[in-house]
Amino acid sequence: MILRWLVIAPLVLGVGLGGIAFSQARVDAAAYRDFDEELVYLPNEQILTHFTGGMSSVIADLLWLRCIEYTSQEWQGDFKFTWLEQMCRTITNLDPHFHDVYAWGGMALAMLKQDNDASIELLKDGIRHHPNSWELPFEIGRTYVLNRQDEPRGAIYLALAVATGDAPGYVVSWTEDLQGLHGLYDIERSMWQDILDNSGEEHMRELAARKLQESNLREVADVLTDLATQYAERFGSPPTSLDDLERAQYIQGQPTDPLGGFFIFDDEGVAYSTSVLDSVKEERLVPMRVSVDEYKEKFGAWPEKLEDIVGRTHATGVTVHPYPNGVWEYDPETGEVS
Amino acid sequence: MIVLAVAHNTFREAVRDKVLYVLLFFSATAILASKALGWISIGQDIKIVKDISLAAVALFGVLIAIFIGTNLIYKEIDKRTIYTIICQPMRRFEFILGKYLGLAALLALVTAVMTAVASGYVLVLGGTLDATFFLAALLIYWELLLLTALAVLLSSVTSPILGAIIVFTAFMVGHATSILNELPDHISGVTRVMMNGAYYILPNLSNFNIRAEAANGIVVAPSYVAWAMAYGAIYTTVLLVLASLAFEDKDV
Repeated sequence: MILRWLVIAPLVLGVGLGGIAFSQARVDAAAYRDFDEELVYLPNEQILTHFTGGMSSVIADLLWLRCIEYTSQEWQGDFKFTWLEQMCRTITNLDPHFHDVYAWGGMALAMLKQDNDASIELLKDGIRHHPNSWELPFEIGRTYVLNRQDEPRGAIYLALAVATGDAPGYVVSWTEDLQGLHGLYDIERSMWQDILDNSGEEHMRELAARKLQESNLREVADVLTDLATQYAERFGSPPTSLDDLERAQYIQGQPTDPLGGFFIFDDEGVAYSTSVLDSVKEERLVPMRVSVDEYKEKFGAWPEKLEDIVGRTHATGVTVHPYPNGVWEYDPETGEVS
Repeated sequence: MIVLAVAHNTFREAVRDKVLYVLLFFSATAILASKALGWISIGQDIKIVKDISLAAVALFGVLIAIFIGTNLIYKEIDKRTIYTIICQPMRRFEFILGKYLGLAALLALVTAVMTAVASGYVLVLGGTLDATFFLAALLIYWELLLLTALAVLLSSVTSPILGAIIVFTAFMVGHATSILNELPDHISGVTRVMMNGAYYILPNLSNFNIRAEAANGIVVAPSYVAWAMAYGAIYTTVLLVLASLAFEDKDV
């Protein structure tokens, strides 16, 4: 009995497992199909969905793992990603709620495979199942802006992302910049109005209320810039203030700013609202103050000048002051930037 | 009262069945091992754990319903223990109902235990649970009740092996009936009518499948769950009535 369990059984087990491992290694070595060819046999997702015995979600998970493995192999190999779209489609047909497949697949199709159409279609399907996700419209917006250089259309999708109320600050800033750049004020205002009406967070509603007013001010500034251009053509130099435009009868009265600011012109005749500039200034001050604090923590003293934070902290440069010809004021005694 | 006595005995007998513990062991192992897949899933570990846990509850529940359910009546006849029961002052349909309720109680216990293990595991891993997760488990139980009723019907008219094959086939086909309602345009006429009719007659087990929604944290309308449960209750009742009628006519 003891001999049987202590000697024969381990011997059989050892030899047996060794034999199994050896034969498996030989099978792998003699394999006639590579990974890509195997994927040709990926079943039709429409049919597969019906014959999973209710386990479609689990099969979607397994295919997701396969998709990650495939992408990794392509990344290190041919960089073709031939089957990526079909894999993502199969997974999302099996589990239409699998959010990250839309987001990740959309990004990978656009960035790795450079297939913008497939990426956008996949992401649009994702939006149908996840209308409250900011990532999906953001990925479409990013594809339009970066891959297709279609900033106005990209700005529309980015606005959808921001309107969910969950998009991080950098998405909001980018969206706002693009909308301002392309004069998409109506889209921008509807975006902020959505946030004002629907956001569950008080600070987001306050921000939306201010941004609505800032959007109006930027639109007024654009109109003033157009008038200043006409003024410059007529008089040979741009106006220096609204009084110049009023005297030349380009405007009947001076526009007011409900946020308490006023309008200024730079040397080129571009008009700005000081309320908007103050808002941008506050946003740009935050990362610089963080970098100054980081410097103090690292070196035990405030930087002698603001440029010292570059290269010695996470800062890659000193942000440009938003005011025309504006410069940052910095006190090396207190580390205060303003 | 007699029905409850039969149900109680059936429950006690089923709990002693070693097959139950083997299946429970494999189910728990599948749930706990699901984390291994999560490690390579790029941030989808909790979703995968939820998916596999609910699938394990469903699959092993179905296996328990098949292995125990298809033997339920047949074993009594085969071992001739039925004679000691039917000579009691009880109607045959009471016997069928008692047997069914005993197995239903066992499945309730098994589903509750497996769901508790799965829930605990998800929470230990740092995930969150919402109402949809528990509604998914409830609908799995409802699906098991329907399949058990089918197993009891088959147990009273055929052998366990044939019964098991038919129930398992019903399980697979029951999750594919939607194909009969999504026919391509070139199928028309009588064929289309027959296939559409089959869609309404065959058990549509997809009604009880909200596992993808549960794993992804999607809210399911309470009216959907209520109608799915009503569908299951009606189908189960029909099957139990048929089982009773079949057993009434059976010579034992």
